[in-house]
Amino acid sequence: MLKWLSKTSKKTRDAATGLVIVLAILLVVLFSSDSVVDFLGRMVVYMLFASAVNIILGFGGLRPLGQAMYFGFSAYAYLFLVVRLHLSLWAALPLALALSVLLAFFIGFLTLRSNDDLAFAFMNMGMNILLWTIVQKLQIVGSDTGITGAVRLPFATSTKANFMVIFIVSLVCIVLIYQFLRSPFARVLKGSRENLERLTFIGINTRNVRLCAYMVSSFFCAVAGLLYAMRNMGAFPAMISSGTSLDGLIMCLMGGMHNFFGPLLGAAIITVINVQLPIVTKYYQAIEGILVVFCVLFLQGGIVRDRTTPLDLLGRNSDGAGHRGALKK
Amino acid sequence: MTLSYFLQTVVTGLSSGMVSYLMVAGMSLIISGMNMVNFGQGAFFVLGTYLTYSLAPVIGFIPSLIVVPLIVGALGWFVEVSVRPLLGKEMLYVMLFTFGISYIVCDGMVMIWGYSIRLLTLPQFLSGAVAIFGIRFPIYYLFMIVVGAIIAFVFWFMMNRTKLGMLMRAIIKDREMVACLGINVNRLFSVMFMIGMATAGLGGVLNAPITGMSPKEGLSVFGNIMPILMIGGMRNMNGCLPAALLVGLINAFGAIYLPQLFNLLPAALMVICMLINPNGIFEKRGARRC
Repeated sequence: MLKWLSKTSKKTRDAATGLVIVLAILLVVLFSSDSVVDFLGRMVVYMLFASAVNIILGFGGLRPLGQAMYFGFSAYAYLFLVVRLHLSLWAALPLALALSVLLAFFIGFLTLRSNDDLAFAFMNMGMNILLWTIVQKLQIVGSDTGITGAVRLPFATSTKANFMVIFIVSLVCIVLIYQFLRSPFARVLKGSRENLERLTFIGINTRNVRLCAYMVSSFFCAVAGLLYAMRNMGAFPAMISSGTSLDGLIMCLMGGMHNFFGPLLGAAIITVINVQLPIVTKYYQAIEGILVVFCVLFLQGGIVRDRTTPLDLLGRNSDGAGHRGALKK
Repeated sequence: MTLSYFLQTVVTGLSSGMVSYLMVAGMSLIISGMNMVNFGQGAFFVLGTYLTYSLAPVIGFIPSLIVVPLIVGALGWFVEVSVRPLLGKEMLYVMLFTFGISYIVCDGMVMIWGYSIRLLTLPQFLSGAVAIFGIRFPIYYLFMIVVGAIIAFVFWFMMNRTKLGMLMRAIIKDREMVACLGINVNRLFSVMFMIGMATAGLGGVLNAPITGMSPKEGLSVFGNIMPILMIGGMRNMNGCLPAALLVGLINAFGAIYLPQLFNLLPAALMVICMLINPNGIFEKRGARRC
């Protein structure tokens, strides 16, 4: 068995791993109650979210501290279009996605303009908090309580049927992300992570490459947001808060962000913690903080390590080629 | 709008701009000096406010203006020491670390002070209003402007006229060279970080009598100060003061004319500024950034 595994190509191995995960989840769904299925729905959505974040975090080398923007924005846009403007579901879904990608283009253009990694991270985070404040203050999107409405697809209103919708869409999206990360474009993206200056020498417009990757990542985040809105039958301020962004980052970091399966594992772990912890203690946020600090200090490579990742990436100097080079031009 | 009302609004705007300036100055120092973003800053700002609520009735308001920043700065030293092993590594780790610290501090404050939002009563000589040319101004707002101006001057003096400031400017330009000259960079980082934290704490103290804050607001403070930092330029410390005052004025007038869009005005201004010059509009022409 082991010998066979080592002989096969990486793609076959990945496909086998994915198949095992899919079968395991389906097996659990077949023999469990609605509450467990509900929980699994959340986990699957976060798996998609984490792998979407990882496109630019692990493979693009940027620090997207505000991807919950698109996660929450698409949900709010969808709910707003359906509940307030009375559009049909099928018209609202693509419209919400398009709006999110438009927002991603706008914010990505602004934040990537100065070619400064620190500014990118900080602006993303600031924009996220800004959107969260706006959502909380605006009466028309329900301020504190969010919007609720019947937004599940008409043929899948029960918990299990809805879970199957979420599951299939997420699966398709994750496979798409996998294919995306094998494309020539992703190779250029990885190049921008390793050495931005060199890519500029070759004659590649690195800013456009990053902007494209940012928009792709945001698109998948928005899909995850739509699925989450269907699961919850509503959009709530917590979805767009910086805490959700942080969750996405921690999932990637904990699982191992240079590996495709790392974020999936991280998402599973963090979701369990996030669901169970508030039941036990009031101070769950502090415990989450302690967890973050612990992960950052002692678990820098993540649980699933990729052997092909160059080692210096794990302990890369923040003054190294990527950052300093970009500033000096 | 009458002249007196106009002037009163200007004073309100300038005073709130000064509070944000204290926050932004510390941030900008840490960003340009240490090349990291400290997301814990907001939490320590709120911590300053809450320490004032507890300390001011005991030791008085004016002494707490000095004591609280010292306490917050001392706590900043602990943060700096624990973040030190991460400084040479990937930037993301430092960001997440300070994020985690901010969560811990926020929940620690909930544990100690609870969720109740409180207000502080001012000492006699700071409350009330004073009439200048027949127009009445609240004394405390003028006091805030004065304190902010003093801090701005101290910052300028420290950076441009003292040995410490010289070293700090050197470390912003070229860290390796400073280390090669035999200067203890780690200690310099500690000092920088503590100064940054202490100014945030001072801002918290000044803020205590005006707005009630919830302990969980540590992160949402960033929504207010990010526009200032981006308008002034992230790595440009001289841009902080004009940007902070500008945003303070816009907030004050926006609250009167467009109360619906109150939060959006600074953000819109920031977007415009970033389209003009992504490095901040107060950047000197031809200045070499590093």
